[in-house]
Amino acid sequence: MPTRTQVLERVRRAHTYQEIGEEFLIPPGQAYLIATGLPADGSDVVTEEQAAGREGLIEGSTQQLVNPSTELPKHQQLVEEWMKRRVAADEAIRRAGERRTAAPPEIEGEDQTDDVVSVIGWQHNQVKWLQEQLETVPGVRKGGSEAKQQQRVSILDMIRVRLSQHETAEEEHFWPAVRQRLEGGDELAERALAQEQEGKDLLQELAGIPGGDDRFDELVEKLVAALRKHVAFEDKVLLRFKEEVPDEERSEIGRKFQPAYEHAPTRPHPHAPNSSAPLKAAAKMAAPMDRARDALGDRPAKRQGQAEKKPANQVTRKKGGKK
Amino acid sequence: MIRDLIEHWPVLRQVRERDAFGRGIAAKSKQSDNLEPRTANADKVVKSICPYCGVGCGQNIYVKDDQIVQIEGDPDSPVSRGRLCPKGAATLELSTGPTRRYHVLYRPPHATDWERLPLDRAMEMVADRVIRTRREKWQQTFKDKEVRRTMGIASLGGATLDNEENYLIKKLLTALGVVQIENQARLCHSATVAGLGPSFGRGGATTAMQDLQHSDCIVIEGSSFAEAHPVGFQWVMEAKARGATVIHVDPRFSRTSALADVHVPIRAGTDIVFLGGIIRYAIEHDKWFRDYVVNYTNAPQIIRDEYRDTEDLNGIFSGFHEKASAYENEAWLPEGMSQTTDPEDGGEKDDPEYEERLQAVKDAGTAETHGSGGAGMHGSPNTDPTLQHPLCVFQLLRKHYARYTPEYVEQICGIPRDLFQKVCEVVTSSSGRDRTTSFVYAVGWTQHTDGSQFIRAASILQLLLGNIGRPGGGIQALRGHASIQGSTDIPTLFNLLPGYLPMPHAYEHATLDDYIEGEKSGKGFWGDMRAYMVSLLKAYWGPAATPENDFCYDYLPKITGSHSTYDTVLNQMAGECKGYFLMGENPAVGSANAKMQRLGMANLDWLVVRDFSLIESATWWKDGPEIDSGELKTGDIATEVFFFPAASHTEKNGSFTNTNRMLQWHYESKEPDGEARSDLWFMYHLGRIIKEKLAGSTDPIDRPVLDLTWDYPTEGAIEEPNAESVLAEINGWDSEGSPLASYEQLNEDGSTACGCWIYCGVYADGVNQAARRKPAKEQNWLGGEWGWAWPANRRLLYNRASADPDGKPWSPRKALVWWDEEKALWVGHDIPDFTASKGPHYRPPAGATRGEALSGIDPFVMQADGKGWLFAPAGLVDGPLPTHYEPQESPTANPMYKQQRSPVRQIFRHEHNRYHPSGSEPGAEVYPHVVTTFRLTEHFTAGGMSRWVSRLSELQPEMFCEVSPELADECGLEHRGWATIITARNCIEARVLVTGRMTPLLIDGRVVHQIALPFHWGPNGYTQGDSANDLTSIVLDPNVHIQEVKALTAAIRPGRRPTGPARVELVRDYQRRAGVTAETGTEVLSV
Repeated sequence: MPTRTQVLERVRRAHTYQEIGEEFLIPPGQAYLIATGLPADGSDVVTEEQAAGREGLIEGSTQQLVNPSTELPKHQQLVEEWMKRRVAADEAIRRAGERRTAAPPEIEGEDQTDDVVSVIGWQHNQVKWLQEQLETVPGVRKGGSEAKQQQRVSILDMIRVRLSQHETAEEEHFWPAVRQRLEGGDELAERALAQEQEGKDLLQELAGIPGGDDRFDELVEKLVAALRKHVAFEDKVLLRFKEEVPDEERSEIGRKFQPAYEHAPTRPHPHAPNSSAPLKAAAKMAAPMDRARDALGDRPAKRQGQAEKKPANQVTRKKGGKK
Repeated sequence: MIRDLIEHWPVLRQVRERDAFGRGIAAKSKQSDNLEPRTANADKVVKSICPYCGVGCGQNIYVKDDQIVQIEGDPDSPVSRGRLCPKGAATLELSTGPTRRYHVLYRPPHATDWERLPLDRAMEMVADRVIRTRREKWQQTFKDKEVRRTMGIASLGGATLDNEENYLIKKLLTALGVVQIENQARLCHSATVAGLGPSFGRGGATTAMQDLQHSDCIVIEGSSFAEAHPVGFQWVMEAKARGATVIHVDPRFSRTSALADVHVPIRAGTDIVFLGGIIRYAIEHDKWFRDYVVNYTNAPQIIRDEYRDTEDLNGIFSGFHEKASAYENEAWLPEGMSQTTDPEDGGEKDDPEYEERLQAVKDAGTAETHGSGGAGMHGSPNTDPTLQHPLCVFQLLRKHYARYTPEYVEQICGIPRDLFQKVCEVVTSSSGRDRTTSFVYAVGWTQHTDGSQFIRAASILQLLLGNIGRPGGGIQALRGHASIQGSTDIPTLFNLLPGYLPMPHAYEHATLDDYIEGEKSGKGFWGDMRAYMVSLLKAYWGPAATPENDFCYDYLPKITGSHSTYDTVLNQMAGECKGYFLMGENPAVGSANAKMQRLGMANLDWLVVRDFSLIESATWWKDGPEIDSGELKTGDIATEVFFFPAASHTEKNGSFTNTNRMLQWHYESKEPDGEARSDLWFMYHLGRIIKEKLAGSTDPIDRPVLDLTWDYPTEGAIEEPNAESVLAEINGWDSEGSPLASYEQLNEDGSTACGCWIYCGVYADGVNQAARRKPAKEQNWLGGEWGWAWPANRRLLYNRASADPDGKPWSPRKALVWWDEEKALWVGHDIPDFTASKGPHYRPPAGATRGEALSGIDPFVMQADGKGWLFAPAGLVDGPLPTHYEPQESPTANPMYKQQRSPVRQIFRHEHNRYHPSGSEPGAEVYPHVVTTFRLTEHFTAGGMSRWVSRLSELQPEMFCEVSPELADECGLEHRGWATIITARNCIEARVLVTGRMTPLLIDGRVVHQIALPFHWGPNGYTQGDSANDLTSIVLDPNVHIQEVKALTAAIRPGRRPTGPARVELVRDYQRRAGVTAETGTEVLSV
């Protein structure tokens, strides 16, 4: 049986308790007990004062010195196969899944107010909703299947459509009003526009990158973070706008906002000006072209968040999950 | 030989073995050298969880040669840190001891003894009886309303059932049309759900035990924490070591008081006066947390001007209907809001059906449906953020509690004014921006006729002081059973479906649309209720559940009022209920009015008892107290009794949900021996056999059973169902069969299945998250990677409130989660109990619904208005503000209001359930003392898991009563002698423990004595004694039907009780002397 000095000397030389135990033919937990005066079975909960100056303590659990180490829960093939069987036997759930789109729920309250603060709020919530859908569908990095990747491409495009329109309308009608009506409004608007530009650039960069590309997931992650930050910033501005600008004025802006949204381009045009007057002209030019392209092409947003081809009526392969 | 001697020469050994001083190995004898711990040679160490109280201590099970050789604490657990209490340490004997049974026993009708029966034969017989009784007692309609149910079968489960077992019990019995499905959870903590749910939006403890270490003050009231949850109590001691003040408020000075800084003796059942007094103090001395209250509570909301308080109506609120003994809460609502459930709908107020409807809805236990979703409301309330409007909640609160003065506290609770003053000062000065106080309670609060309101009072105080959702704050509802939290989450309760979805009510919920519209809220996450319900129906009925048939909604039986375990007992006595399952529950000892429990069972056709040993509920027909007294004769009793030996926690896989709302998985160490089986096995195979027997039936009542999804994979020689598959169904899957990660993924279109929406995420990524065991020392104090807590693994609920309205921590010392501007996310030490990306400045646009309707300053996300409710306009049937009523039986008249007892309490007129006169009513002096019941560390509830364990029985060998020296003098009781305690229900005997731990109290000018009784004993097991529950009556909290057993009155006299018929005669004699009649104590309004 070694002495404390002997054990500690080896601890100082970075020997593990396993090694010390082997050297002296004692269990490693006993070596720990000799070195620290504390048993390694969990009775080693000590106060900071008690621990101070005590040598040989190890960070974390000491239980592995006396017991086999704890196994992490793992995937159970039996359970996985059974779940697949349950779904295979349940045609109704599969049909419902196939019908499901990523389209956000309809806006409620549109008939209640014209207030631009609410109008912008509804649109934000729709985009946030899509963002959440996007985050739930696993991309290629998380082992998402090809169908999942296609779903993500579609949802992203749905976001693209809404954002392009929303930001154009904001740039035309909201930010000018902020500049005019809020103290420090110019600064607020500049900051917001810079944020929006960041989003447009990312969307532009994403255009054409297939969902299976690793870069897709990386850029989506960046985009989602940028949008989140922008919306949180705008929440602050909206709160002030609501407090400081009279009801009637807000409604007036709101009434202009909706048509502007509807006629805005459906794709980002990052190089177009984003100040109000030239913007209106630019938007007028870009919008019909965008719409024409939308009508001709088969843009992913049209799939409403579904995969390109509906999955055949069979259970899809497990999305190679790991963890 | 000589060489040998020399080699063993100590001096030489000291030198050779490098033990110079001879204090080490050189001094070791041969015998001790050969000693080895039982753990050393184990083949494997299996991770498990202690099956006793709700602390949920981790256990290591050491197994050698397929036998359990030792059980020890798991040092890695963030809750227990390796410790076990006497019970936990005795689990080795519990699971391997000689008193466990391994064979099925059968008692035929009228037989005098058991006989053996093979397991498979017994299963067939039970299945046949279920099918027969169900047909015989089928109810297609009730008072012209479609109910599709049977009242002929009931079940009562213990709270040591795994979540997976509860899930199968509820699923199978519901499909069979059984509604009387109950659990120990009814008897223990149902009032918690009704108290915390309407206040905060969820009915579980708001905090985790480990977080108590960060409290500046801990008030333990209605609980003997150190005694009943010893290992959890280490966190109180941690706090104390860090300088916190610990206050224990309890009628009895217990092990908890001994470790507290202050013990406050209180008369049992008067806690609302005490708490109301602190509320008044905080308001009048301006000690409340204004910024918290204005932003996070409903204090600014303006209540309708028709509202009348107890101040105006002498102890009752407006909207009271005497005939129905029920409130209609329309006048309690805020201006601008309406409620979803409205008993007036579908009937004019003079409609004769109106009263019946009001009563039926009141009795349906809806308060308990707020376990994870506040009361259903629509609209936006009118508010006054200055809190000056005379009808705003804050002013109503102030007015209501103005009466709760220190003088009343002294007069009613018996607490001296200076002591009360001290408590007020400590509690309020330990709360605020930089400090937090926590409250801890247990069944000392829940088991009263107004227990839900005790908890409401604490909720109000904690909101006023800004202590909810913050580290070191909150309310801990200590659960007394391994999975009692789980038994309400995945309920085996008559009024709930999994995840606190209400059980459909025949009066209100004829169709799925009625059901959803009637219950959901426009705002908050309860607004997504349809997705939760549809996903549950998909989990139950799979392919049969389609949008065209409303997902088989009509397969669910409907309730029509209270079908609680106590109503069931009356149903048994009335001959309505003929079959009864007891699964790990011992009502012959553990339920109020234990005699009625036994008489009810004596009137059954068949009874199934599943337990380790022959508990009292299994043997009453041959050796129960009524056999001795002659009230029952074995040969006359026609009940068939089946005894099935149960598997222990070490012999099965499954999850327990502890008092932190945390699911922890325990693994099987070995298969159970003999015919012992898990309840999972029992329910699964019972369902399988019933389905086989009904196959081909064209009777529409059998459709729900035949369509029920029931194909769990089985394993091993005994064909044990795979528990993890059941957990996977509870978690839910999408239309591709992939496990869901969060309840936000649930859909209303039938594209997801989920057996319990609040547990969605426990099987995220296809991994059993409840089985995670990352050592406590390798993570923060909340232990987020140990097990899995609902909702969404959040450990401290409402933690958005730990930050100010702008998202910054109220103080650096009390930081928990906060808004990170850079990431635009809520971040911190816990998972935010809030939409992670919703900024603090978000305000909902007009018309927004569900989660989107909650603003960035609405921390109570399950509430219809996102706020903590100081005033509860809906959700409780006995008033929006806690009000002091005397217990059903009290030594004093209510000094505060004319109304003596809660006007809406639930009473049962029955010859075996007579009540006492109270206060100044004639005859009250016959039962002059207050009785309260309590628990000991060494025993467990009704004793089924402790009186058969030799070590525990040795530690607490006998039933006793605690009395003060003054009462002993007054009544001639001798220490260690015998006493007989008498009520109008029964009399029992107990050893006398004369102790200064019991304090006589000066109440309303006279001395009141309290008698404390542990309630663990019964006539079977190693240690035997009378049951305290033979004394108690069935009188219930109207919100949740929990029994009042923590405060009643009784007489006491020296000596043993009579036996035989004389026992009954003694009880009758006292009844006569007190003038007890069928009407005593049953009035609605006090005259």
